[in-house]
Formats: sequence, C-alpha cells, structure tokens
Amino acid sequence: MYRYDEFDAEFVRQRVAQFRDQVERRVKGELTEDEFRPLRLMNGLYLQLHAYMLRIAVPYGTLSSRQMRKLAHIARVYDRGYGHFTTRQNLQFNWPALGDIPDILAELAEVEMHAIQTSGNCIRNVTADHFAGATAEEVADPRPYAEIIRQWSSLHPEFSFLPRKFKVAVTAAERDRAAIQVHDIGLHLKRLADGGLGFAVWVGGGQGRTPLLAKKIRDNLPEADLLSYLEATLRIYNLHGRRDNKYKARIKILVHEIGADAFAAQVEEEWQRIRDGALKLPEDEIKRIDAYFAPPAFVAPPAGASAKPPTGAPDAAFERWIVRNTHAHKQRGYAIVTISLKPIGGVPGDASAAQMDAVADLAQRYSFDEVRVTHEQNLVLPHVCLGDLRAVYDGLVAIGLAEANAGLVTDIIACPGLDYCALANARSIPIAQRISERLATRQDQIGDLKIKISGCINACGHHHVGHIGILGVEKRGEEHYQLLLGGSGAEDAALAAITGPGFGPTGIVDAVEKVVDTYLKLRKDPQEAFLSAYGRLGSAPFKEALYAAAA
Amino acid sequence: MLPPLDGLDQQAGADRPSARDATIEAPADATIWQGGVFQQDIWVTVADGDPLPHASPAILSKKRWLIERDGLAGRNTPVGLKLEPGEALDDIVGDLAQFSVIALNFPKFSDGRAFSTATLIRDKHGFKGELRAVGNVLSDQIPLMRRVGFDTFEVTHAPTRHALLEGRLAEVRLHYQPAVVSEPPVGTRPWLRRTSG
Amino acid sequence: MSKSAPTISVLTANRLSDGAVVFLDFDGVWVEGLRGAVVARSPDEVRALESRGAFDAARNIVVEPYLVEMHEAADGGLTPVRFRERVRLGGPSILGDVPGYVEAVPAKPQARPEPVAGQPVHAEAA
Repeated sequence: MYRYDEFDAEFVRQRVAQFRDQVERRVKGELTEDEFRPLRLMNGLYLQLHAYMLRIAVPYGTLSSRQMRKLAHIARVYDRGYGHFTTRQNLQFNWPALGDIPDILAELAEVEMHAIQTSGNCIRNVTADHFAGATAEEVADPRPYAEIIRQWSSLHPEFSFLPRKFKVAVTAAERDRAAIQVHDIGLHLKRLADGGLGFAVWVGGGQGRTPLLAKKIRDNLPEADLLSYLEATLRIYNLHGRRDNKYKARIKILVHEIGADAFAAQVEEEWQRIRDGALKLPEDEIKRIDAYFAPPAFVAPPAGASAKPPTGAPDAAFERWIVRNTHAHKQRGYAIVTISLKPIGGVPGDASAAQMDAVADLAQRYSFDEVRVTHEQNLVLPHVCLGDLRAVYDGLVAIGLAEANAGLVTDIIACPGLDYCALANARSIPIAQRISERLATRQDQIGDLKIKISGCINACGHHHVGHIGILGVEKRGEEHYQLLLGGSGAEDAALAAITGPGFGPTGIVDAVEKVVDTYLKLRKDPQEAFLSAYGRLGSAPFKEALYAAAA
Repeated sequence: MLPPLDGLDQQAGADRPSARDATIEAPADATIWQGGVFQQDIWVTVADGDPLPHASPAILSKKRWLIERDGLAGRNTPVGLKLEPGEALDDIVGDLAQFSVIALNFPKFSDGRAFSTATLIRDKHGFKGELRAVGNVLSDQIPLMRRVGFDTFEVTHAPTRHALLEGRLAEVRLHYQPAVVSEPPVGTRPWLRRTSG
Repeated sequence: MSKSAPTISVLTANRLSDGAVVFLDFDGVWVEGLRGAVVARSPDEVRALESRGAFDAARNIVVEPYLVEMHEAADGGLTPVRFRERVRLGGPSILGDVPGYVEAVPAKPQARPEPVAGQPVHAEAA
C-alpha cells in the first residue's frame, strides 16, 4: 500500500496546523459558523443531531494494522469506544469534541491518515473494489490510480468550492464491486486495443433525490491521460453545474439536462487543449506508484496440495463461514476473507475499539498487515493463506465477528439514520436490526439478497441500488418507510422501483418478510437468486403479496 | 419569565467580538490587498446605468463593455472588466488584452465558479494583466485564489484583513497538483508536486 | 402541530464545544435536557427567544439555535411535538446495541507536543 514520503507527511502536518488555526479562530469568534462550516467540512467534521461527527478518510478502503490500531485508540481516548464503517469505505466517529479535533488529526497524521475532503463540496474519497489486488478477476490493481487521483485532488485550488460533493470510484473487474455506475465519475480500468492500460469513463451516476445511472462518455482513455481528462471534466462541472438548488447541483443533473453527448463534447474540447500539459502521467510515475501496491510475498503451496482449506474436525459453522465469507484469491493457496460487521440484530458497520484491535492483530498475523473496508460496511482480510483460515475464524469468533452472512439477507447496509444524522427523517438502524432478527434463521435458505436502508432522501444507505431498498420518510410526524425492489449497484446496475404505499416501523419488517416469502415460493430453484427471480417475475406478484387485502 | 435581554445587539453577528487586539490597521477605504499591503482602489467600478468617468480607470460589467466597446477605442485611461460567476468569455476573448484589470466576483464564498474562470483567463486566453478577486473574499480562500492566477484581492471582511496585515494566513504551502501560476517543483514527482515557498 | 392545546416553544441548539444538544434555561444558561428550559407562550416571547439564540450563537456559545414546539402535560412535563425532536432529545435509540459503547470519555493523555511543520520526518518505529 502507499507509504507517505516526506512531502506527504509534511502536507498533512501543514493541513493539521491550518485546521488548528481555523478551529481557534472559530472558537474566538473570528469566523462565524457560516464561514467555518465549509472549512470544517473540508476536514470531515460535521455537526450532527447530538454531537459533532468526524469522518476519517480510508483511501480506497485500504488500512494497515497500525492504522487500524490508531483508529481503535482514538475511539477509546477521544470518543465513546467505537467507530462506524461507512458506505464510502471511510470511518466515522460520532462524539468528538471540537477542541479535540486538531489533536485527533495530529494523531492520525502519525499513521498517515487524515480527514481531508471527506465532506464538503469538493472531491471526496476515491473508493475502489474492496477485493482489489487480491482477486483474479481484475486486469490490474486499480488502487494505484485511485492513489494518483487522491493526490491530484487534494486541496485542488480550482475544485474546492464545487456546486456539490463529488465522488469517484474505480474498479478493474467485470464484476463491479465498486458501484461505478452510481458515482459522479466511475472508472473502469481495462486493457486497450493497443495492449496498454486505460479506462472506460462513466459520468453522472448518483442516488439521492434524483437517482440516475452514469453514462459512459469515453470508452478508451489511455492511462497517461487520466488526470487531464478528470481535470477537464471537473472544470466543465465547476463552471456549469447548477448552483441554484442543492438538490439539482450534482454532475448527474448537468449531464441529464444537457445530454451525455453534449457534456462529453465539452469535456473533450477542454481536454484536447490540456491533455499534453503538466498533468500528463509519466509512465515511470505510474510504475512508481504501482510499486507501492506490489503483491505481498505469497508462499505458493506445494504442487498437488489441496486447494481446500484444512478443516480439522467437522465444524458446520466453520464450513458455512468458508462458503459464505471467503472468496477466491488470484494466488493459489490463498483466500479473501470477509469480516461481517453485521451480527444478527446488531448495528450494521459498527466496531468496538477492542474489535478493531483484534482485527488489526489478525491482519498483521494472517493477511500481510492489510485490511479493507467495503462500501457495504464490512471489513476484508485480503490475503489469507488457506492454512490460516481456521485461526482467523477462531479469532473472529472470539470477538463476535464470525457471522457467516456476507451477501445474505442479514448483511444489511444501513445509514446512521435519525439516531445520529441531522438530515434524517426516520431511523434506519432499528429497522435493520428487526429485519435481521426476523430472517436470521432462514438466511442460508434465502441466499444472496442485499437489503439497503436509508433514513432520508439523501440515500447514504444506497437504497436505490438495493435488491430490496428501504427509504425512511416522515409522514404525519411519524416514521414511515417506502419499499423498493430490484435495484443493483453492480455491473448490472439498476435503480430499484417503489412498490406502492409505505409502511410503519413494524409494517416494513413484515413487508420485507412477505417479499422474501414470495420469492421463496416462486423461485425456479434455490440457485435462482432474488434479483434474478425478480427480473423474471416482475413486480406484480410481490405487490400482490404486499397489498392484496389480507385474507 | 424570560431571561433578561437588555443590551442585546439586535443585529447579532454584525460586530463579532474578537479577542485579537489588532495594533496594525489599514485605513478602511484601503480595500485592495496588493503587493503585501492594503491600497486604495484606483479603479472605479461603474454601475451599468451610470455615466463613464472621464479620467478615472473604470471597471465595466461585460454587458456595459459590449455596449461601449467601439466608443472606447480611443480612450486613454485604463479600462477593466468585472465578471459575475457564470458569465461566458467566448464573446469577449479577443478583447481581453485591452483590459488592465479583470475583476471576478465571488458573491458567495461558496460559489467557486470564478476559480475555473480565472484558470481559463490565464491558461487558455493568456491574459497577462491584473486579475482581481472581489466580493466575498475570505482568508482561507486567498491562497487558493493565488494559485489559480489572482494577483489582487478586494477584502472588507475584518478578520481576513487582520490576518493579511499580520501575515498569518494559515495555509498549506505544499501542493499536489500543478496550478496556473508558476511554482517550483519540489521533491519527487516534479511533474505533479509544487510548493509556494 | 397539535390541534387541541396551543403548543409552546423552547429554544434548542448544539453547544459549540462538543456539539451536545442543549436548551436555554430560565437563567439564560444552556443546559442538557429539558428540565428548567424556558418556555415561550406568545409571539413576543418567541421573538425574544430567537434573539437570545442569535446572540449566543454570535458569542460562540452555541450553533444553529432553533425553536422546538412542545406539548405540555398537566404536570408541566414537556414532550417535543415532532418525532425528530423526540429522537434528538433522547439520544440515539440504539446505544445499548452499539459494540463497545462507553458513556463517559476517559481522561485525555497529557497534551502531546505537536510536530512542528517543517521539521524532518522521524524514522518510523518498527
């Protein structure tokens, strides 16, 4: 993974000093809240319902054990003993004091971490496939490019006051685990016709009030042109994105309103002007960043060794965990492990300081010191030797993180919702908990099913791309929930469709169960997953089950 | 009973108490930060309906410029242009060299369009005159504005004025991207990294 | 909005220092919890509360003050009208299920000397 050099370390130190100064001026009254707000947002500091919230950047979801331990330390010392992993691969602390923030940032800087641009109308954390560098499915690791974009976009003077936030995601596999089609810019790393590496560029995806899927505006951007093309795109957006209405200010609205072709043409014109300028990526620089992401020193198993991990005495729970929570690795003899942060009935995505420390230990010992954060609020140990799977599993059991439910109906994605968030209309966490409890005993039978819950129209729970999506609203002063079906954030991207009238907090749990029952009744066979069955059956049988007069 | 509210400043927020006792001051009418000092503005920004001053350097809106352009051909005193965010450059590209100053307005500090306009004015159109930031100019933006090509700043926000006078703009002097202005490359990756010293 | 009894208002905000939910009390102090919160029953009193909020925001004690409508019970107990405000008052409803949650923040370590910008990077500890 990328390691800071003197420049990077000094940059973050200066940034901490700058923010410390800004906080002091705020406390003294030299800055009003209106003036301070964009500055604190650019350092990831929100004011939420009950307290400040600090969002720490985890670039492309990659952490070392040292960094994870520092996060645990901050949770213990400055916060209330836990953190929340987010749908953009970041980490949130929910109870920091304003005066402590500069110290927290200084501590983060010691381990090459920061909270720069995790909020505000600027370019946010560049996310990536959480299996990057480990899966055989990719043409190359996309993270070096995510790192290059991260650096170029840091405190970019021209793009610090965009019309709205700007989110970039990168993937390199045909199976899209980075949800690039619902990002402002999605980049798909691929092999070009001349054999070199390049990108398909997607622009204008996003959720929220006006969900839209991205349009591909360029299919074959050579890697050397990555930054100049992004700069041209951001320049067009900065100049022409709407600023009259917060809900119409994302790039997706601009692309939608002027048309993808017209947008692409404007980008192309500016890009042709600048493509051979200072931003052209030198090949030796790409190689230099690549080197930071070189694969670790895998130890290939002896020829003829079984690909199956040794399981010792039969252990159904362990075997179930292997089936559900491990994924094939590009290196024979290794596996990718998903650590579910969704214990049955638990708070999705939360981890205690002790759990973070334990995961750090497991990563250091068994995963070449690397952990990933997924946009589905789980963690990943990317490089685990098959022979170590038992030890990893036992370690996870000891800290209560061994639920074998990756991708199952209880692996629910939920935003913090009204329990934390000042923007929310309804709570989302308790809904996730009740659904998880209701369906836990049948989760294996149900199979792959992604439920995503948002507590308001801003869609931080990504409900538009849930196989089952739930949107919390306020109706007549009470919490109310809309149900949507058939969404997907993967390469088969689709926006979920609302079923009909919404439900109350208990009703929505019943409704989800009815949808699941309908699926189980009508699926061709257990191999037909929910999303496929929904595509085949359409919404009619589900609506009927939900809304037909009760027998 | 409500708490006593005597002595409330009904325009709370207008006069913010500041713990900093600024011993350095500049005259209130010296609003242009230029060359490290506050100077009086030699330019008159002419409202669209007002007559043009004969002898003062005058800044015109784009709309006014397009009306007056031909008539100003023989004018000796300098002329400048003020652009609002979102105003296009395309129809005046050929005129830019005639302006001694181009002022870009930041009506709200959150409206960042002029950062791109400035970049294009310098980088695409090669404008060599004075580029001035006016409107809601705050200390935390000035380093960014410099990088995209602004040389002068109209500053009325009191804490920003103090910060400039006392030389304590909190800024990050290392940069991860080349900008419009010429900055020395630093360390590794000379194609990307810069410093403003 | 209640159709029966006229609702009354209290002034709430977030404390600048830690973002905590606070209410303006009878003595003009910002307190956590509703007990003692000063109540506005008439438009004049509402305006006075709003002015007070703006004043204290300008004095950097609180941020984003606003009025919250309350139902008043016979015994004088107050309950926010809006669901959102009830949640805001009560704190997150799920803290009992949050892994590792501790209510009190332990004492901070000694203030550490901050590395001075411009100093060379120290060799990293292993």
